[in-house]
Formats: sequence, structure tokens, C-alpha cells
Amino acid sequence: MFIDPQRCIGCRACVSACRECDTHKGYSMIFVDYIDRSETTATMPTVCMHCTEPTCALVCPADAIKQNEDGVVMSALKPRCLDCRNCVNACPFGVPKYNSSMHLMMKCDMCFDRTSEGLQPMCASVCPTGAIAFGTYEQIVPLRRTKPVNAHVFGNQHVETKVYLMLPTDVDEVKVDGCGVFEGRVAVEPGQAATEESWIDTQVEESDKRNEF
Amino acid sequence: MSGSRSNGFVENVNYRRPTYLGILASGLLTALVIIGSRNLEHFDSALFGYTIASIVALGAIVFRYAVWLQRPATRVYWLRGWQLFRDRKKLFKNTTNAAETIGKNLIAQNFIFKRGFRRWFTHFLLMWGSLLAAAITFPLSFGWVHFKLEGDRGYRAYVFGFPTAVMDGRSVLAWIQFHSLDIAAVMVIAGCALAIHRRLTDRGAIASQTFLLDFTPHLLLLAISVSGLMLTASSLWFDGYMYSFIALTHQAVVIMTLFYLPFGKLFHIVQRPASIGVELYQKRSREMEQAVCPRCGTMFIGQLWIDDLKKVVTELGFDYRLENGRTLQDYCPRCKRVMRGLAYAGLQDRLEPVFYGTRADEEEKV
Amino acid sequence: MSKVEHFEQIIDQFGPHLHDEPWGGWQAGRVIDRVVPTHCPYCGVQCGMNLLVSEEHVVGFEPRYDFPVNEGKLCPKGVTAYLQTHHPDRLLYPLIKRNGNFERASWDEALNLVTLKFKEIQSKYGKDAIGVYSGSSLTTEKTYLMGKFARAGLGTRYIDYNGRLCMVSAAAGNNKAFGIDRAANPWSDIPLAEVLILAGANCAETFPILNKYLWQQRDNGGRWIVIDPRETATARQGDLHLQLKPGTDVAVANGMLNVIVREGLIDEEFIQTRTNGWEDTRTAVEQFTPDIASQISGVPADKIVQAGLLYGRAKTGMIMHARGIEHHSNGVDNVLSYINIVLATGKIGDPGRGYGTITGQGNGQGGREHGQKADQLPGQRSINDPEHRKYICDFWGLPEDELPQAGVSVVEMFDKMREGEIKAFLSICNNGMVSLPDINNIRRSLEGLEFNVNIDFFMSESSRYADVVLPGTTWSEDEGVTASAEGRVVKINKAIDPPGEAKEDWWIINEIGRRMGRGQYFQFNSAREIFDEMRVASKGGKADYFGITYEKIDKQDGVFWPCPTEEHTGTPRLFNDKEFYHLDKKAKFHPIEYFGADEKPDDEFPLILTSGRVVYQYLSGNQTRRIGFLVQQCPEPYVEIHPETAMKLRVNDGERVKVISRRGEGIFPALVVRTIRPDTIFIPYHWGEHLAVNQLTNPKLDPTSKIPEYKACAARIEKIHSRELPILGKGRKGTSLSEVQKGK
Repeated sequence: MFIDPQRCIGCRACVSACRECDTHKGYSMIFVDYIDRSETTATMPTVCMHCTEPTCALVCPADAIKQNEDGVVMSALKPRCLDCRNCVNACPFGVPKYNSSMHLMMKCDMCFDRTSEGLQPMCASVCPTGAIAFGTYEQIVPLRRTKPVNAHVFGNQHVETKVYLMLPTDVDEVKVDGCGVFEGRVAVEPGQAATEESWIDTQVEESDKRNEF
Repeated sequence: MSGSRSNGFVENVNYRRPTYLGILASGLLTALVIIGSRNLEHFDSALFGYTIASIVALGAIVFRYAVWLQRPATRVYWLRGWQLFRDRKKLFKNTTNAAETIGKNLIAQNFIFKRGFRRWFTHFLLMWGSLLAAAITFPLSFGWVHFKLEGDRGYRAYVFGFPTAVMDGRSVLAWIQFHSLDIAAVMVIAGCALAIHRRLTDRGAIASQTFLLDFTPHLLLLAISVSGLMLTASSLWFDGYMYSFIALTHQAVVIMTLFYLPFGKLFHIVQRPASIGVELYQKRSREMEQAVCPRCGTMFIGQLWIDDLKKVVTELGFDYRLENGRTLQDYCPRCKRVMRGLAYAGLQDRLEPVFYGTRADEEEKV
Repeated sequence: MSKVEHFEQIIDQFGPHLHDEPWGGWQAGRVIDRVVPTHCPYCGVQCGMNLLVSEEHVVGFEPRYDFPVNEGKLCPKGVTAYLQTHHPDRLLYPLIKRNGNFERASWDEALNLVTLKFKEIQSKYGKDAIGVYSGSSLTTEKTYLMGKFARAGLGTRYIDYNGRLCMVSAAAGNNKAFGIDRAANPWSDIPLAEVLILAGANCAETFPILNKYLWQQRDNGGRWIVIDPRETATARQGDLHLQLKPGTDVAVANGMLNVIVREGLIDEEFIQTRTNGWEDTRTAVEQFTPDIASQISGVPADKIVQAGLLYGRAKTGMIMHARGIEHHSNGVDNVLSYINIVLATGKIGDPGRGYGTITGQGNGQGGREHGQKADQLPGQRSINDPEHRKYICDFWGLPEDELPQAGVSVVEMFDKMREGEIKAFLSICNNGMVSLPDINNIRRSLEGLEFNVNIDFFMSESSRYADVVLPGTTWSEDEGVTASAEGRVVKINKAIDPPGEAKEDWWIINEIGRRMGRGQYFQFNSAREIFDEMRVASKGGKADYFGITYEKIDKQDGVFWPCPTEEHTGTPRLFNDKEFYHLDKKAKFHPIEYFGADEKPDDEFPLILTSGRVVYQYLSGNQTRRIGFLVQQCPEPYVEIHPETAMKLRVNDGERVKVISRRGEGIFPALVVRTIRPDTIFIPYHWGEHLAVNQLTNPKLDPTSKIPEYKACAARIEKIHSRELPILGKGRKGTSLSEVQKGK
């Protein structure tokens, strides 16, 4: 699977289609966030990146999060999940969602019901621009001018994932270190912290920020 | 680097203590069997196989539980849960909270109800059927309970060797008691049928289930219930036809199930009560200082909670410390996603523009 | 007579209510009985999709990977489209308004009332006292039937359609320049173009699936020039963004052509042999030097030069435009000024070289071909042309003197209602109370009617004013063809029978026609019968459907018209032979002068208000404002303001402000964003009543196309010191749309 945020038009077709996935029918497990609506229309689509060493699985006290033989990190096993939310808050990508009343964590499992039958995941099927694309490394490289990278850096931590991010050819990794500021075409005055977000960004429900579904 | 982390965790598991604990638990149960049956006086030797299997299975479960508690995250919850519970000022509140959790989660199982009524009903049948059967069969096979005929039709039950009231053998109550195992079997069979039906039709379940993990427990429970019912049928209507063969089969599947307990899906039976601790932990930390996302200012989780989590993450070998002195886990999930978006948008020295088109500016300047 | 008296009660009864679950809830274990391949009911891209049917209910969708246009891709509206079908707000039986309340009636009762009233009014005031207002989200069969119904059934000259509010400027411009009204190239040409000019087209939000082709072009190394007053997602992703003042397209286009001429990038041979009128046009653009164009449009001169060079120097290139340049009182001029660039560089009629308008509505193309336009007869024939009139009259068996003359555009039709010339009204597939400009006047028109019939499957803002509301079908309950924005005729297939007592729209119209005593013209028993009649009716016209059959559409994944014979496989690219559809087979240049928008900002109204869409809502929102998911993403309109302007006005982000124009005012939360020009504000238009931007917009019409000027009017913003937060936000999951509607 390949994510190319540059192409994302923020239409959230993926978010609505995600609910059609049979492993979490009716609940969307994908995110499309404005990165700073007051400056730009740019949005960031986030699916589970399926880490090779999933932090979520390791911090799970109930050992409920399993990786299958293809490296897909599955939703928590229903009988085991204790709703402790360690995974929700430990995940470096902010992916797992939880529901307290169900005592359940669910997350993107790459539409396991579809991919196991050779179909594309819902999000990649519907994505108009190819910001989310499904295929093999060999398939995607000749189609794009960007290159797939699956190395992510969060401070001192390197994370390798099954899902690739499409990056400019001269960049090898995305490094998250500190909050970050969107420096659009309109220059932000030096020293001016652009953490004031637009209401359309911030006034999502509190439960959305905690990843409650 | 990353490989050694998880391996390190696996290597660090200490098997000595869990082994001792397992043996200790088995020993304790053996002692209880001997005491409860008054030096095996009331022990039914026909049930010897069951008893031995139970003793071994208990040891295995305790062993497994102890190993499980060594997972860093589990240990933190375990220790912190007990520490919070023992807080003297809140002991009463903690007890009522725990009781409430037991009532809602373990008995009423509201959370399964929220996942779906059918699911809840299936689980209700399976759980209460199995518990009912267990509550009858274990004391019987351990010799903790036995009956004596008194008079024409009166029975007196002895529990741990102590006599209880006499009961009319032909009363409705007695009928229910004698047939409660059959009732339990019917409940379990119905539950298994519902569960298996779901597993055969629900496309989500079909995709992720495996035979060993998801069908085996149902098939075992079905085998126990059916063979148990056959025992009743054989003795009631067929003059004990094939009784001993059926009994042997029944015993075999029960023993298999007992040995399966610590490893498969059924381990959740002993694992689930941990939710009492988890919920207590969540409730108490909600009353304490809250962690505030440094980027958006949301209070998204208790500070104690996030601190414990950060310790666990570090212990597991991760290092999410950022340049600004914070740790990635300090941020709320949404901000983590946005920060990654911003990092992506800010990629320097690019050949391809990332979030706004500047190619034309660069190359075609007139 | 038609006033809305029990407003709250009507909303309680008929919605909009939010609904966000398939029939029977979300279930993963359902047995799917049928998979019905069809198309999305919404925009002009007409994406393929499969509907899943279980127990005679539409319960979900599955991507239709094998349909070449979208290859399974869908936007959020398409994904949730199936939730319409069993929406609790669906109208399931005919309604007659009595004492201000809608009461259930039988079909006989309702239809008899309609025919009785129509006859009464026509005998009292004359045939033309009935106005018919149709729409372009209907299948082509139905649009053909609407034209026939008005002319042959009612005998009124007053029929028009809501495409008048959509892309009619493009249609007029195309006809003037090329003599035919259709996108010149199929979308599969887009990836072959080195340079793509997108003028007034926010593809990201309005035609999401078109982005597939745009990005293919980009992956091939192509470039986009985006001309838009806002930095939309498309503009952000493009290579060059000309952020012009709304209404100044002529200046930008002429400026670019000026650069192209100056640099000698024109195609002399093509101009000489294939076109007329170049000299006048060249003289007209001479004065539009980049500096002048820049002064008028506010786009830096070097960007205009850059754009002109990029497009002019490229071997292949396409220009596509949408509502941004068309919704103007000089919309046709805007269109023609861009066509001039196409013709001057000769970039037309080859792979990757071409031109197209991106039609908005699902059947925006098909809906403007077969005679529901005020001046049109089937096959893009003209009602003013005696030959054309004769062909259709002979074909229908209608005496020629019974065929009415041309009517007027829809906005003028509403004027005539206020003037008392039109007394009764039949509308289908539109929602004027949201979509027409200056809705306060529109309301007066509707309230003054003697009798008002509306056909719809949801109670729209306009249906509330009707005396009789007849329940029609959604797209999933009927079959028929539509023509997508590239001219590809595709087939909508029926998934299930209409629910309740709802009936196919063609049945309703056919039945009214029959009951009006015109049974000889209305003998249809199925959509296919209408299609077959329409094929012959269009034969020999420009939009020739004669060779198209349902079977051919299935076999070829759609057929591009014109398709004159049964052996013909359709015409994906027009003008392949560089022959155009004027009599001399040449294309025409039109010298365009710059006039600008009707209302220019002044001291009293210093800002330019422009309006547009959001990706989550579709047109007047009657369908999408009921789908929970879509409403959650965008529950109410907002006003986009640039931070500099906001600072001057001391308006904070998220604060509710009053936006005022010469026609009305509305209160909207401010979205302070750097992606809009400081002199411009933007409000999306999908809402009605007090949330409608069309309380403010200018009803000034383009003289040729009669399109209203939605995209530019003068406005000002006032602070109202409201502490109320936007609905988006804290309690957004709990907010019901009814509350939004009631203004609670």
C-alpha cells in the first residue's frame, strides 16, 4: 500500500468507504486531517502503516494485537481487548481507535476481508487521485515520479512499515521532530508560532482527538 | 536494532517463578481435593482422570498467567492496579468501583451487548452454560460434594463433608438439580450453533478467523455437551447402552479442553477479570492530573497513565524522544497525524513540489 | 395559496433528517442476491458503481473496477449514494396540501386534481399559463419526455431546465464557436496533454474522479495551470496558479492570447484554413498586454506571461473550464475568450490537444440535448428553425401550429410568475428555493402561483411550496441513459422496484399527459420505449443518438454521441478531421471585450462575493443534506475570508458574521484562510432558507445564455458579536439537520 499525501484532495471518500469494510462494518478507521486549514487546503491521509515492529502490539497488556504472516497488524482480538488504550496512545502514527462501551480497539487492517480475497482495500479502491494506492512496489514505481519510502523517524526512533509513503526522489525519510509549522507560499514571520489552528481543524469532537470511534 | 528489541523482551522472560507458582497451585488444589473429600473417602475413583487433568491444567494456567504478567505493559497495570486499589483513603470507593465493574463487565457483560445483541446472547449462552456445568462437575469430581439417600426419596447433599438440608428427590427443584448438566449442555450447544453460524456467514469474521483459534474451542465445547447429553440419554432411555464408551469419550474431550484452556481462545476466561484492574486504573487516573497535548491543548488522557505508558514504551526498547524535549506520546493521536503531515509538507530540497506547485516558477522563469 | 404555513411540522415530517445506515443496519453477514452495475446519481463524471441488493433492498455498493472512466474510484457522495434509496425521508405516496398540511392521497386523486387544475387554468388564462421546470439529473429519456410533455402535452411555450443555472454559458459558447455543444475531447486525452489549463474548475471538490486523469497527466510530466480566485486543492497541486479577481476571466484569457500572439506561438495555417474571424480577435486582444490584464485581474503580469508561454509552447495542451467562468453575466464571453486561445494555437481535434467544459450535473450533457431547453427540440435542434420544427412535428404527429414557440429561461420564468403571466407550475428534479439567485424573489414567485405541482423523491425546500407533491424515484429504481461531461452516453440500471407507492418519473409525466387528453403522444410503458422514440427523434440532429442502443452501451462501456447509425461505434473525439459544425465547417473566433461583473465593489459593498460547492454536498443538497456522513463533514455554509481582510474587520476565525449584499443578508461563521484573495469572500451554496448564499447573489443574466451571475457580486461583512460557535465542532455528531434548518 502506498500513501501520497501530496495528491490528497481531502474529499474523505476513503473515510466513508472505510465503513463498508466487513471487518469493522459501520466504523471508519482511516483519517484525513487538515494540516493547517488557515494556510492551505492540504490534508494528510492516515491509514495504519503496519509497522514491522508494531509499538501497539508490544504495549498491549493483553497480547491482543497480532501480526499475520503478511505483516498486516490486525485489530485487537475481541475476547482479549481490555480497552486499556495503550495502543491508541503509543502508536507513533495516531492510528488505533477505541470504544469504551464496547471494550474494544479497532484499527485499519488493510481491509483484510478484501485483500485476503485479492480485492483492493476500500480506501485505495475509491481514492480519486491515487493518494492511497494498493499494489506491489514493482507496480507503483514506474507509474509515479515520486519514490516509495517506508522508513519513518520520530525523534530518535526509526520505524519501518509495510505501507510506503511516496516521497520526492531526493528524500529518504520523513522526520517528525517537534510540532512543525506549515510554511506555505505565504511566508510565516520568523518566530511566529503557527500552532493556532483554524476552527475547522480543531473543533472536531474531543472524542475524535482521543481516537474514540 | 529494532529486531533485538522484541527478542530482548522474549529473552527476558523468566520461567522459573511461573514454574514454581504453577507447581504450587497444583499442589494446593491436590491438598484441597484430599481435605474436601475427607481423605478421599468420598472421592469417586471413576472421576480420577478428571481430577488429575484439572490439577495439571490449573498448574498450566497459573504458569501461563505468571508469564503473561511479565509483559512490561501487563506488569505495570498489575502493579499499579493493586497499588491504586490499596490506597486507604479510597478503599471503599475502589471496592464499590470494582464491584460495579464485576457486575457490569463480568456478569452482565454490557460491553458485549454494545458490540451486538446476537453476540451478547451467544456469549451469554456459552458462558453461563459452561460456568453452570463447571460449578457442578468440578466439586463432584474433586469429591467436594456427594449425596446420600435418606429415607424413601430424600437426598442429603454433603459439601466438603458437611451435611446440608434433605431434599425431596421427586420435587421440581431436585429435577432441575439432577438435570442442570443437561440444561447447561443445551445452552452451550445453542451458543456454539449461533457462534459457528456467525463465523460461517460474517465476511469480516471469515476473513480473519483461523480453525485452530476460532473453531477448535467451539468444537470442543460441542463435543463435551453432546457426549454429556448422550450419557443422560443412554442411562434414561437406552438402559445404559454404550454408556462406558460414551463416558470415556466424554472424559477424553473434557481433558483435552482442560489442557487447551491456557493456550487458546479460552484463556480469556482467566484474563478478562484483569479489566477490573484496568477500569479502576482508568477511573482513578481520570481523577488525577490530566495530560495536555502540547500542540492542541486537549486533555486526552491522565498524566499518570501517559507516564506509565512512556515507561513501558522505553522498557520495550523504543526511543520516541523528540528534539524539543518531549516524547511523541505526549501528543494526542490527532496531533501526531498532523505533525507527520507538517513534516511531510516541510520536506526540504525537493525535486517534486510536495504541497504546492512551484515547478513552473523554478524552471520557466522568463 | 402556496405559502408554507406549518414550516416546522413539514420539516419534522419530511426532513431533512440525518440517516447514516444501510437498510437493516450495518451487517457483514448479509447474503447479496444481486450485484447491479450502474452509475453514480450525482455529478457529470458518471462514475460506474455496483449496487448490492439483498432481499429487494439496496444495502451497499461495490467498486466497479472494470468501468474505464473511474476504475472503481468514487467520491464520498458516490460512496454514500446508496443510503438515499431507503432513507426515512423518502416520499412514498402522493401528497396534497390541505390547509397548509400535506396529506396522503391516492394516485388517482392527486393526478385528477392536477389535470383538473391544469385544464381550468389553461382555459381561463391560455395555454402558456403553465410553466414547466425540469432538471438535468433526470435520465435523458425523462428529459426528452419533459420537452414533449410541455409542448405536445400541455401546449405551453414555457419550459426550461436547471442546466440554465449550470453550464449553459458553455453550451452557448460552444455553439457559437464550434456549432455544436459537447466537450471536444474524451477525458482519456487529458494524460496526453503537456499543459492543461483549468479555468474556474475546482476539480478536487466538484469532479473528484476527474483528478484521476489530472494526476495521470502529471505523472506523465504534464503541468497544470489553474485559474481560480481561491487556492483550492486543485490550485495547490497545480504548477501555476493564476489567482484572479472573480469576473475578470476575459482579461486573463485575452492577456494570455496577447502573449501567445506576441511570441508568435499561433498556428497560422490552422487559423487560415479552419477558422473565421481571427483578425478582429487579434485586434481585440492587442490592448490586453500582460500589464493591463494584470491590472484588471489582479494576477501578477509575469504569471500571465508564464501561463501564455507554457500553453503556447507546448505541443499538446487542453483547456477545460467549469462553473467558475460560466456563472457570470458575461459567462459566454468568458467561455469564448478561452476558446479563442484554443483556436489561435490550433490545439484541437487531436489526441491530447483539445478543449472541454466540465458539465456539472449527472446528465448535464444529456439534459441539454433533447428538447427541455426553452428554445430547443430533440437532437440539439432549434425550435426557431422551421425545418427542425417540421421534422419533430411530423415525427410526433403534432400539427405544426400546435408546437409552441420558444419560451424563456428559468429565471425569466419566475419573473413571469410574479408578473402574473404564469399561473400554474410543474417542477421536477430541481430546487429553485436553494439554487436560483435572489431566493427572496423566488419565494414571492412561488407564493403567488395558483397551482403548483412538484415531483421529487425527497421534500425539497421548493416542494414545500407545492399544492401537490408526487413521489418519484431515485436513480436506483429506474433505468435510462445519461450523457457524461465527456459526451459518453452511459446506462443507469434498475436495482429494485420503487418503494411504497412511488412511481417512475416518466410514468407520472406520461400519466398526466394521458389524463390531459393527449394520450396519442403518451403511450409509453417503459423507459426503453421512450429511448427508442428519442433515438429516432434525434436522428439527423447534431446530438444524433440514432445508433445508440442499450445493448451497445453495455458492450462498449458507453457510447459517445454523435452515433448516427447502428454500425457506428460513437465519436469520442469531435473535430478529428478539423471540421466543425457550422455550415462552412469552420470554427469561429469571437472578439471579446472586457466588461467584468455586473456589480463592482464600491465603498458600500467593498468585497466580491463568490459562491461554489463543497465536495460533500451536491447542488441544492436535497439529496446530500440527508446523509449523515456527508452532513457531518460539512453541516452548514461558512464564509471564507482572507486573514488581512479579517484583521481589518476585526473578525476572528470561527466567529459568526453577517454578510450583506444589495439583495439580502445572511449569517455565516467566518473561516479565515490564506487560500482566498483578500478582496474576495466565498460561501458554498448548497443550503436553503436563512443559510442560502442565494439570498445575496445577483440575478443579473448573461444576455446570450441567460445564466445568472452567481460567481461575483458586491458584498460587505458586518460583525454581529455572536458567541455561538460554528456547528462544525463540539457537538457535531449530535447536531440534527432539522435543527440546522430551523435555525436553532
